[in-house]
Amino acid sequence: MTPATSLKQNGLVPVLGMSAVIVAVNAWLQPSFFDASSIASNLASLAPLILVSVAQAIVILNRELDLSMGAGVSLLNCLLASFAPYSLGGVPGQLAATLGVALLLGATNGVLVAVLGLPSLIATFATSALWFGGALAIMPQPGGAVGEAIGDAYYATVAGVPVPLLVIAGAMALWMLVSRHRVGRWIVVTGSSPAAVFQAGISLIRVRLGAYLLAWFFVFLSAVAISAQTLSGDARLAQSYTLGSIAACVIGGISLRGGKGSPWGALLGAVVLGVIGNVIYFAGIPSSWQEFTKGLIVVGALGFIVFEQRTAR
Amino acid sequence: MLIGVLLALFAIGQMVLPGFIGSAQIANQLKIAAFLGLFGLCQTVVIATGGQGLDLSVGAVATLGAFVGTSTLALTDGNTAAAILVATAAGLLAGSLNGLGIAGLGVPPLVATLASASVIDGGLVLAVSQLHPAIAASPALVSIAALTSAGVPNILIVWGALTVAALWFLHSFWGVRLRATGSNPVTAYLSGTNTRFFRGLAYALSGGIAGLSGALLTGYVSQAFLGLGNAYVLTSVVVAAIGGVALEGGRAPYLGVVCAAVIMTVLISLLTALQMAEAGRQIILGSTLLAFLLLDRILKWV
Amino acid sequence: MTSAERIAGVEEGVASVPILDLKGVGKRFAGIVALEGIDLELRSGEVLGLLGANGSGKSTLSRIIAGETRADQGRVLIAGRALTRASPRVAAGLGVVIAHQHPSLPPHLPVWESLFLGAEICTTGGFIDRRRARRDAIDILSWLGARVDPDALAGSLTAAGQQWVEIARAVSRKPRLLILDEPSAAMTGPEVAALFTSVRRLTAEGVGIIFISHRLHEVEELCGRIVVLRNGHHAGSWSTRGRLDVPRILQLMSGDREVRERTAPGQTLGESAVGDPVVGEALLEVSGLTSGTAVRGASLTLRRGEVLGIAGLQGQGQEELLEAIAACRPFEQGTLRVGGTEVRPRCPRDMIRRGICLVPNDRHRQGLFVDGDVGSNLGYVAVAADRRPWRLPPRALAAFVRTTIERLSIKTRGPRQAVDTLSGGNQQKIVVGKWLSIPFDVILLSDPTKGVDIHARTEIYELVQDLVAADRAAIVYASDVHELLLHCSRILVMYEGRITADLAGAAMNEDRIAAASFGQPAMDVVS
Repeated sequence: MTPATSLKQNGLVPVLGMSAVIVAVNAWLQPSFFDASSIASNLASLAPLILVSVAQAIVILNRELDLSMGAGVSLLNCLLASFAPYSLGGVPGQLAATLGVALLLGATNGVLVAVLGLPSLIATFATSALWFGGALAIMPQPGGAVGEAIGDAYYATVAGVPVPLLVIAGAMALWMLVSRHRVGRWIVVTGSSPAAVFQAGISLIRVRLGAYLLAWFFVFLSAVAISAQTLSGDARLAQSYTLGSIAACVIGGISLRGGKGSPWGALLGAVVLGVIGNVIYFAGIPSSWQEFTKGLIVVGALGFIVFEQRTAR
Repeated sequence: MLIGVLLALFAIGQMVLPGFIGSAQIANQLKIAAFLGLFGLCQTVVIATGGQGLDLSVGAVATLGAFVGTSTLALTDGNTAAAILVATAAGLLAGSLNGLGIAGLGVPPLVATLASASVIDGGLVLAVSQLHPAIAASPALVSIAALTSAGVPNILIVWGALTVAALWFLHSFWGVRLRATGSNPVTAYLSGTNTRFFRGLAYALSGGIAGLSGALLTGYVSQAFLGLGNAYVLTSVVVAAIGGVALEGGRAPYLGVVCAAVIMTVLISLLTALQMAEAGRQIILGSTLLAFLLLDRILKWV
Repeated sequence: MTSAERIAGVEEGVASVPILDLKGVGKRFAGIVALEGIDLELRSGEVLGLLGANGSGKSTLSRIIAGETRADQGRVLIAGRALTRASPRVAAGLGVVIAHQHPSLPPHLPVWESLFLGAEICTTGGFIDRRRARRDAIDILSWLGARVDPDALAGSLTAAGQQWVEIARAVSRKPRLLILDEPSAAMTGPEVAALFTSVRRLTAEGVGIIFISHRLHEVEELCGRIVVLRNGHHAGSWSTRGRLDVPRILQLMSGDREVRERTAPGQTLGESAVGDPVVGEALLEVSGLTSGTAVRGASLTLRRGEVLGIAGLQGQGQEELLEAIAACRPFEQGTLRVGGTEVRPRCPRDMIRRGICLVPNDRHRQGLFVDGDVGSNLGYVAVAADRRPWRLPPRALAAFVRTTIERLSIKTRGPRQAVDTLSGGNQQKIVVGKWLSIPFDVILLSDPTKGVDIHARTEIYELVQDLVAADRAAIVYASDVHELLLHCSRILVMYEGRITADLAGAAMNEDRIAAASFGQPAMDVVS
């Protein structure tokens, strides 16, 4: 299979074009865009949305949805910010505990959807209220402090490569690994043809559960990334991520009907969404116009994708 | 069952907070419930047409209706009726665009309504900052939305009238076709129903009701402001789900949604009265929804 | 996958324990008997032909053996071990694999990968060994003699290609018992020959095979023993010794002596109808209708007072033809005249207003609101046809529902009963009966007696006759030829999307239909 057909099959062509255009526009408006420092800071601020979009992509490929991811990121952020500086053996212990909680949240969603058979749209909507309540319980007011080590590590470079890029690369490498593993294949195939998976003797329940657990590992990464930037806890920090991640997936050519698309699309979709903000800022659009312009661009992008998918059929 | 829950809530309220049941108290809660119930009607209609129906733009459309209502006709008592109509029309227009995208182009409802919400919100931010529109509600609007006559809140009469209209609509020939579209779009189409039209109609109606509710909300809080309707986006979905609107479509028991709206309002006010923090309220909200979903599931299995 | 391995796996079973041993197996769906009291034994190296009309329980039986659904009664022993759960994985572990008639292959996976879904060839740690899996897939496909591109996406294959992948998938599991459900339905002559060679090689290695096919000559060529099912019951079984007793099979399959006698050569129903010339003007004229790949230039004329039957093998475009006429699928080329005026079908609503209504093929998916009650289903067409949206359902509608329940003798507790608690026959009566609320000229029925018991079948056809007698016309597609011979005044046969025969009078008999079903003017299928 050539790379070109692979791109086409995964619906990546339009989003590739779109992200190229938007990056080019950004670079034109902001000549310093390709400076090392500028790239590093852009990556640092884009990483959390990218990671949570990849998480959402995994769930959507499985033909489910997760509306609790934004609240989940906030909850994990508050949790990280609430640890006393040297509790749990310092930063590694704190991260491990946060990861444990993340997987627990993912497992809860997975059990509700896969085992109990609740519609994911409404079930994860209910759990999002639970996570948000949990975050508020930990941190009624924004505050607390995330271990400085996390922030320092996030803004460091390894052999000249900024850490956020490494995190994103690591996450995508993990996905590549999983997608070559049989469980990863099952997750995607279940989305497009659950009947085939059942007839092949694979447990649909376990595959769906696995998809949620895997996705919430990426949610955990996103929470760490955003916490490293803010260095404090806020229960409302990531509210926009739930819908932002879904929008990124749709722009990235992932079908909400499951099975079609690739997390790479979600990554590019998140880049498009993130860079739009930059472009609007550097284009000197008055602040009162920014929201509206951004909304219009997003609608245009969505319309383009929908139109493209309809004509491709 | 929902009525039982409601009575139990009142009983608990009376036990822990003597004076929880009082005519003024109840009237007050029903006022709040009326708005929740109207937004619940939006979701009821939309979810009933199926196809993963959901309208996440009700908040933005309500805010739109509020500003359109207060600003287009520098609001005086004489203009109130016209202002409400214009607000409803604006909502209908926004809803029709949703319907066009969803039924005509096949955009998933979640994505389409979300996108339109972001455009409307952004547009309102722009309009407010550029045009500095009038935002005050006329005394007549305030009296419709916030005052009582002979002990009965006026808004309750409006809600009652709209409930009767909604029930009539949902059982009329169009309502039957609308629900049939959600129940089984293929059968409905093969039996001679223009399923696309009804799916689109549902979103238009939802927008219209949201616009109207927005205008009425202005009266309740006495002025329009950005983000006015946002609080209702998610609670309206919760209320519809608890009220027994099946997410797969086809069922639109609006009386259940009315009960659910009152229950939610009483529950929230009880929690507020008990000085429970936002965190606790969210958790109880989420658990209530989950409990209802699980109960529904268990009843289906038995 | 060497043959030595496969024989080693089978050897233990050879020790006088049959590979498959069924005793008293029964299954009900929503109270309707799908299977009852089935006993069956199969030994290694044997090819068993499983025969029966549509809906006789072949598929249910093979799904039970393959562990996709559980039997309500009786026991299933595979190589002496009981299969108690509905789990394809457990059944495959015991050595039973099925190749489905309509494979559900994941459309976005390449062939080599979908072949091993659920039994991936992995390196340590569960990672898919792409090179080895692809090579093994190529090996199996070439062992079978299948010309399928291993890198093509499964969704892009032809029906025959998908069938090959499904068979390869089954064979790759190294089964002791392989169920082939209509494997040749979509295949051409050389492909069928290649398939048969593979089947013989498998049996030589000791694999037991259950072969399901409607093509009797294939069964004759391949099977040493046959079992005939009728309405979920065991109707007969014997060793064939290379010759099939076709009349006996047909008789056992239909089990309806009356049909056999009345359609016996020389005194067919069609012949008795010769005296009554079909009267009435043309209500419907179709010419050169093309829709997708299923219908390719079909033409027909339907006159008032006619019951026109459409026969043919399954999947020759019969359902699609009716759907295209009713505007439920695109009418791409050709012309359609309704009562002499040319119309361009746009949507079903359009055609309903012109007096053409369709009883669709799949009553659950296309005909009913499964979550609704009897009344709302029966009344829906009237609701959908009314041009006054503001009206609440009037009393007349309730009266219509009551009289229709009586007229069609629908067995129900009343209009409020949920339709999914009714039997298949009563559900089908509702799907037909809902059209009685509006005036119409033509009713198209797509396999209206599928999964319907014999009594309700008769009643449904009686209703059709009544309607036609009242100056209307009907087109019926049924998968059961005997039904058509009994109830139609003229029969068209479809083959590969075209009408290949127009039979009436003496020409309307089983032999002619069978010949035309294979696209040939005269082919000696029966003898």
